[in-house]
Amino acid sequence: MSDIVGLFLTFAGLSLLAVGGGDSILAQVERDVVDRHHWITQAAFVHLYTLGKLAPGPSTMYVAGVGFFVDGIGGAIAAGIGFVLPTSILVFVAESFWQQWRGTQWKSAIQLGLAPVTSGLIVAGVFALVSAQVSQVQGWKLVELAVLSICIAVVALRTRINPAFLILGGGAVGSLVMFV
Amino acid sequence: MVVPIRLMSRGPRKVNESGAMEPTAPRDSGSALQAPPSQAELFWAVLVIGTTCFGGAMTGFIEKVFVHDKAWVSGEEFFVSVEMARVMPGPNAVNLIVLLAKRLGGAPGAALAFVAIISPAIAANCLMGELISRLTYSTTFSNIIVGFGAAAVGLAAGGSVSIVRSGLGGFVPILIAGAAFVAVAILHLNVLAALLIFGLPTVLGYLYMARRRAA
Repeated sequence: MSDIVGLFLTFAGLSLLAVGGGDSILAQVERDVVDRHHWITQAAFVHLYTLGKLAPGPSTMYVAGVGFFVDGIGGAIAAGIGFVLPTSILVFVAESFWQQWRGTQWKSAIQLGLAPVTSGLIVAGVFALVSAQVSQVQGWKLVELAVLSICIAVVALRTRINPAFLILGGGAVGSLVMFV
Repeated sequence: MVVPIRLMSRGPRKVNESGAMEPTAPRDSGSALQAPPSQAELFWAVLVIGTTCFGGAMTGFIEKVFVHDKAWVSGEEFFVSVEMARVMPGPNAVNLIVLLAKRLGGAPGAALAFVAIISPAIAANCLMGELISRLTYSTTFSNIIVGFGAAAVGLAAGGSVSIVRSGLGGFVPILIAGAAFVAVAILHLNVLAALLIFGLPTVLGYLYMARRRAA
């Protein structure tokens, strides 16, 4: 199986598990592309995720960067489209039935029942990112960057600052920490 | 697909704790909707959204364009679309754009909007990939990107706290979330398995409770 087909199928399968948004499968994406397929290193994955936050459009399209790393522009298109095409088709088809389904007990049960699991999965994704950061920095710099991460988290929670600006500002401070 | 001009209801917006604007239940404002756009207008509007919206908080931006600036859909239609986009799997912003574009332009509109929303992101992430592949052995670049990584971790953590707080009410949901976290993050359980093991019984449990209440 060529890399392009493998990228498309891998991300197509992952997207169908992304209940609650793309971040709920972050840990699984990392595991698949780093440990299972050995397409990229853990450090490169975190770098792509980080810089993907500075790109326009849906932030989960960092997967296109993963595809680019594996097989150039063709890989980026395969990964990017693979990650959104199956779910878009699903949404397109399901829209016709949504109005009838909207007020049903099933819909409420699925929404309420998946919320706790999705929460756990999203935190697992953050844990995967933290683990990758810890593997790249040691000592006091790690402590300083951890404090920076906590500050960014608090600012993100308490203010309406655009996430891209938080990445830029926080990244500038983090870079200073790494050089000082 | 022809959408008749009708009364528009603009939903008041609130801002969630991660800074993203969210639609709330709409109310009628009495403003008229504009005629539905041509496929070219729809494509261009979505392309502008995909090119100029940074940081991932797209729902508020899409609402501004579709509901307030262009007045192509009502607040209520937008609210229903957001609700569905979040329940269905996949990136919420792409789901939302596909739903709105289907409403305005049918299958061709949805296909064009799909291309328009993901193309700028794919192109930009190619540039990011090229940057990383060229500079990956540079110590200076590595230091910079690790610094930015700390900011990305903080942002992801802040977003997760916001989502967890809104998704967890009561002891049992917290327990389920904790179990799902341990299973996936520590025990490296597959996400599909986690959804089946923890999600399916919880969904059935909620369904059982709802039916008991209704009976």
